[in-house]
Amino acid sequence: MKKENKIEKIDLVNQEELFKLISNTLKQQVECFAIGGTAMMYQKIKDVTKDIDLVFNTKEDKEIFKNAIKELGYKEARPETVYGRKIINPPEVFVSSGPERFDLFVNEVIDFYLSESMKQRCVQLIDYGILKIKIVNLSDILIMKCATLREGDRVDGKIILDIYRDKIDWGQILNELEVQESLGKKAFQNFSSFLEEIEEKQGADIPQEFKNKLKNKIRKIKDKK
Amino acid sequence: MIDIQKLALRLEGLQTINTICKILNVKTSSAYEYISLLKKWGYSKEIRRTSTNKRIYAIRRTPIIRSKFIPEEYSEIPRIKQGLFEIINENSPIKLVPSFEYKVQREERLTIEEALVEAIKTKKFRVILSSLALFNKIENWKRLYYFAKINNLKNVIGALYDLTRLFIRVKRMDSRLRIFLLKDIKIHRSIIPGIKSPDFEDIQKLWNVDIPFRKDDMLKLKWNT
Repeated sequence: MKKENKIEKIDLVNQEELFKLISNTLKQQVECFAIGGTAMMYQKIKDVTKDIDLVFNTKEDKEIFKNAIKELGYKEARPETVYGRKIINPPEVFVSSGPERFDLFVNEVIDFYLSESMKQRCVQLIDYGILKIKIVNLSDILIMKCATLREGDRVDGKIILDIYRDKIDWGQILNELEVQESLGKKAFQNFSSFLEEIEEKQGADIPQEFKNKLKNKIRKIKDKK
Repeated sequence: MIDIQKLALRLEGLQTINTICKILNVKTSSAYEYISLLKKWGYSKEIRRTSTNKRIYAIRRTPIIRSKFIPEEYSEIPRIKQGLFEIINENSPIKLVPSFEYKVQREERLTIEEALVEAIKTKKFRVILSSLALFNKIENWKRLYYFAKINNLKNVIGALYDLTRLFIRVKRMDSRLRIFLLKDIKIHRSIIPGIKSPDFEDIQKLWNVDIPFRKDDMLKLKWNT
């Protein structure tokens, strides 16, 4: 008998109810940042998401949050089973019998840092009481999408580039990539590969001026080495 | 049993007793009763008097949350939950254009005390300066202490209170609260990292806090009050 393919995703309404429940379960105040699909849902770009990506300022905050979701029945899973391979700086992954999955990070999100400038640029703060969630802005969501090799992230990147092209600040993206490079990440290279992929496979349209600036930056970095 | 919401919808806008009598086809005594009911449930507010000393009432279709008379059975009526910037703009002479959206997604409203602490946590110059006016609207010092404590901002609150009262009128702080706040001066804190004013050295030394505001900045707050 064939297994039915279940769409394991969560929508905004259910996610908000979940966060309210977590807020009522938390023992101490926790503040975190929503990135990826969760951030896209709050900005009404996406309707559903597979995983809830949250970034914490400190390990202590993550532990407090972890204990709260464990109380609600979430269990730890291996990141390799989710990402399909071993990755650098993997998140702590928590799953339950429901459709949602939590990916918890502390400042570092696989190949990128959630820098101070990204934190200052947050566009929303959702106050659930003890739990407060800040939503990163669109340009920063796009930057972080290149951290994984997941097809879904490429599709999300295309959606952002197609529909919300006017809201993307390309200058800001370049500045942030500089910041990431200064923090030791191969930001320009990773982002350039990501853009090439979505341009070829998804047919996204990227401004030529930006592509040229990106190429120049990568050339300068290679020359320095 | 009068349906308050339908009444408010029917009378929405600016009304006098005479106009209410005409719309509802009732006597003036009944019109006064309706106005009294609408005021009690938060739908109506007297805004001014005419040249003949008649009262003008502003009637809204949704109640204002700060009416303490709205009972719980009317909780399905949509309540406007004021966010951080709404509270600051209502109470401060220095107005702010929100740099991010502050959404309250919980049962309790955002209080003045919590708004003050949240404003300090933004680490934005103008937001913190504008929020200093909230020291004149504090309703519950214990609540302020609680939020300052859980956010590790006890000495910051003390320093900003001492600074603010030099320039504008503020509510008198409980003497015991001051003693508790002074217990937190061992850890040095910077209100905005990297910015320290050359003025107010005595306050900065007493509370072990770097204050970002100069005398001219505080005078702006004073002159606008």
